[in-house]
Amino acid sequence: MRPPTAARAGLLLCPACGMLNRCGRTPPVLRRPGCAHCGLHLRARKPHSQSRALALLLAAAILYAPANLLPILETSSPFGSQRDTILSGAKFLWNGGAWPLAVVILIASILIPLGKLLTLGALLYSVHRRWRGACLTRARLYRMLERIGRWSMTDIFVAAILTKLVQLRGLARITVGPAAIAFGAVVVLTMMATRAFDPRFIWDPETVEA
Amino acid sequence: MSDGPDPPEAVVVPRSRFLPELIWAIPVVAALIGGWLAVRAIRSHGPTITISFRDAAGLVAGKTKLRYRDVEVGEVRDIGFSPDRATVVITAELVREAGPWLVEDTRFWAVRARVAAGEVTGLETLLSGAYIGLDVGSSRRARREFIGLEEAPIVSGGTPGRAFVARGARAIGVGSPIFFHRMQVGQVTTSELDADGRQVSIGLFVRAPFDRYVTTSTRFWEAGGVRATLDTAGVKIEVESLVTLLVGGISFEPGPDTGDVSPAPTGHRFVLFRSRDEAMKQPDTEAENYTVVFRQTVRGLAIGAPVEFRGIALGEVTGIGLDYDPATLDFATPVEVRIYPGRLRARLRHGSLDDQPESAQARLRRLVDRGLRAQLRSGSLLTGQKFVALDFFPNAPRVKFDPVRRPDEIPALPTGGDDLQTSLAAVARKVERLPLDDVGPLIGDVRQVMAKADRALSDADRVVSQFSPTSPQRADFDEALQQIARAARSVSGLADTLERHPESLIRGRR
Repeated sequence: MRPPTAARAGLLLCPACGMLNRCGRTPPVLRRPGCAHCGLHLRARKPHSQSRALALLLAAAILYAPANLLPILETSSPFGSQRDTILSGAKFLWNGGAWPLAVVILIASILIPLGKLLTLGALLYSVHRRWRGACLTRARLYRMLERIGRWSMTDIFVAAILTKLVQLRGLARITVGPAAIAFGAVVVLTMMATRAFDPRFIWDPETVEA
Repeated sequence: MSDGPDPPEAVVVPRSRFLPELIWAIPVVAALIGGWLAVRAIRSHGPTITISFRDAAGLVAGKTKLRYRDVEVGEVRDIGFSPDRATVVITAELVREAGPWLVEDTRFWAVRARVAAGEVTGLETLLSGAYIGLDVGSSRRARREFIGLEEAPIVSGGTPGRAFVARGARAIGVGSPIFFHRMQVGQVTTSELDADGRQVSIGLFVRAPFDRYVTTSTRFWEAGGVRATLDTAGVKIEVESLVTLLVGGISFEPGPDTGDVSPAPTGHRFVLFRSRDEAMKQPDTEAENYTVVFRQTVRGLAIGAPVEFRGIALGEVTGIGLDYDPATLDFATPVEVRIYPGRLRARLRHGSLDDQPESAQARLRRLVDRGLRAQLRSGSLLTGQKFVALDFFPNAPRVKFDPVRRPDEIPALPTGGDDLQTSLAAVARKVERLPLDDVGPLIGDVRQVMAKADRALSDADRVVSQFSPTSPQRADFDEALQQIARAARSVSGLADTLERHPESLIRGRR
């Protein structure tokens, strides 16, 4: 037996002000119900959730490649200039004995963005195919995605701070490489994709359509 | 359905103008950016080459750069060995523009800090680490495998100027400067022993525009260090410049003959002389060898000592030997001399040496008959160097000319300590010829003269006695004499030291 849902009862919750609205008597021609309190456009699900999430996810995936292959920091000093990618930086730290730092960079800057891309992709695929199983696991994965999304920005912050701090006139100079922009774009785009995705689709096959 | 009042009815809001498809512009832009970055990355990848070195000191894979005229043009990617482990093979990636530079005669070398006598190079590598320098060749044939030079080439390709070769007896350090009127106009590029091991071929590079002053008659000589020459002319010290004092160098100047002044072609072979004097000597085309047999000490006569005719250097001593005659139990010192008649001819203003067609031997015989003799003379009181002087001594005893002896002999006339003997002999001969029997009436006169002389002598005695041994003048006189003697000893000691250790001028006495 299907449990009652707000959608089937003709009720919509305003995401902005939390107001519960009825839209059962809204004339179908209009189909643009707005919140009685704040006037926000009400919908049963985020509009175009899957295609928007997919588009943003694809953009992030494309930029993930230059983010890791191109140099993120360019150091120039009398000892010579050096261009470091994220991976070579981690390698340098590892060889230098600072392996905890290397592990942190490896996880925060390479594995987490990659994991986010794969996880969100898997979620999208599962929703697209209207899987019914493992709903709870998928919901937890999604919550995790939302929570860790912002932490990938640490790399960008470190690069930005270094760039401003290490400007010894004529002696040493650190500038950000093209990978920094790509990497920042990856983080922002995955966060946007995560937000565009509507987790209610995970449950829909079970609750709404069953 | 529920107990309380129903939630309020939703209101109608206007349709948003946002087209949901616009979201796909984001991945398209991302793809464009990603593609552009990828293309740029691929395009920035240049050719990969390998360079063989003897060792890889200071070279680090992934860090060492390749520089052309101090502009970074590549990076060392990998360092490995050749299959036989004889060389280190460096794999390097260059920027794209460098593609056409990789030709047959492009040269690579490792730049490290180097402190040579004349220059300090690569100081910046102390901080930044070694790098690989390259010099683009002019060939058109592409190449990807190179053999690295052990040292940076002295002259980088494209420097205008010309290369020449000078052959001499001694090597000159590679990189030593070449001077023209004391201006540094080039450098020594190579210094290689000839295959037969007799001479050293020295590669010279003279920068433009100075290379046009190198003509086929130009003379090159070693300008190295201090030249302290001790010869009959005394002590001569020459220093070209402070740099040459340390590392040596080469100077050149137009030769004395002004006839041929066509610019020397590239690679022209010159003779490298030991000194400027030697370089500027007239080339001696004809040479005649003679022997002079001395029966006295030849101390102070060195091989190379000049042979002069009335002060004009005509030739040089080429050998000093010793003859032993068992019949007479006597030793003689035959001195081989070489005479260049051309020098005499060059100075001749009137008349000619060749007015009579005759052999050199016949001519010598005539000259000897006229009194031509060789003498050993002291050229310099300071150094005690001797030379062979030729002159006419019409009073010299006649000698038998030996037409068989080779080389022809110029008879010797004793000099120096022996000079006194000859004079005495002459006096004795004169005394012998004096008409002593006719001198009877003269004796009275002689007595008067003697008495006068006696008076003069006693006068002198009085004068001298005024300088009593205790008088201050006498003491001053003695002291002055002693000082002179001391000074003379010091000078002679200095000359001795310089002769044996000319380098002590620079380094001091050890």
